[in-house]
Amino acid sequence: MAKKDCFLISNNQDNSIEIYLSIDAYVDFGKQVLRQQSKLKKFRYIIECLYRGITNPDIYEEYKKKYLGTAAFKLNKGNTNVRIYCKYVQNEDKTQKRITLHKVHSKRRQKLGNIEDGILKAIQKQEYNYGKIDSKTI
Amino acid sequence: MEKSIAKQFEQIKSIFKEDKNFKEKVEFETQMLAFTFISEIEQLMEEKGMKRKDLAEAVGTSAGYITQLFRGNKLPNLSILAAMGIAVNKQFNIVPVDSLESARNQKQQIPESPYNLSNEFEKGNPFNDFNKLKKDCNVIKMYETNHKSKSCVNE
Repeated sequence: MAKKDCFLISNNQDNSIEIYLSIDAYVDFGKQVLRQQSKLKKFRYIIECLYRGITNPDIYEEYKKKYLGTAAFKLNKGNTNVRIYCKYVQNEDKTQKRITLHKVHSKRRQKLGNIEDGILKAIQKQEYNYGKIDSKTI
Repeated sequence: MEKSIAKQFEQIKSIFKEDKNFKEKVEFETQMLAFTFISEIEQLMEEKGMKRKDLAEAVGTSAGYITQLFRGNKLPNLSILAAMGIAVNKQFNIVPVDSLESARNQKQQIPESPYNLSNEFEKGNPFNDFNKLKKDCNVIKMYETNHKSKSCVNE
């Protein structure tokens, strides 16, 4: 599978956690997260929780076993159940983590169904070129 | 990469660097305090094999309300925090972050506790997690030494 480009959008102070956004996901991310204040707020909370090491599976879940290496940001509020499925990679001593936002998805059912299964399996196979945007060069 | 896309990524990046005003900071930190507490409760529940329904019953609320708290869609009040602490059989305290960090750093350096607690506990052994309790005592002792207060451990 061809590598996809993704770019850094946020990182913590010591760069031990870096959040990247896939080039394929930025349009949906803009529409469904950035332009919706409540979702954006929750997304920022979750990122801060990640940096402070205080997440719980109701807001951020790293899947084990079947979907190892994938994770979900859960932005559910009221009737909407928007999730951002991601790929995470860690270095050997687990001191650095890169989380790449891969797909924004509105989940309809409580359990992971066929659609989610397909997304997560695709994420597992996906590899990325990690990039940083330098504002001076734009 | 096209310049227009690069600009949009730069805009996205800038959102996370935006300065919050006082009201936003308060709201943000309130939510973070709630998540910090919920994260502790969640770990304790896991250790004890406690389900959300059990917690809801012990606290006297619905499981749905507990879910809302865990999701960050509702904020817990102090009574709920106290009730949750009682439900998981743990007392919580509020200390500044720098005190916690200093305690964590020194926790690794301090020698084994000179207090021979093990004999006391082995008699009746009412605690399942003795080693953790012993570590907690070390931290408390160290924290109190730092603050020049009397020891809490009854010898």
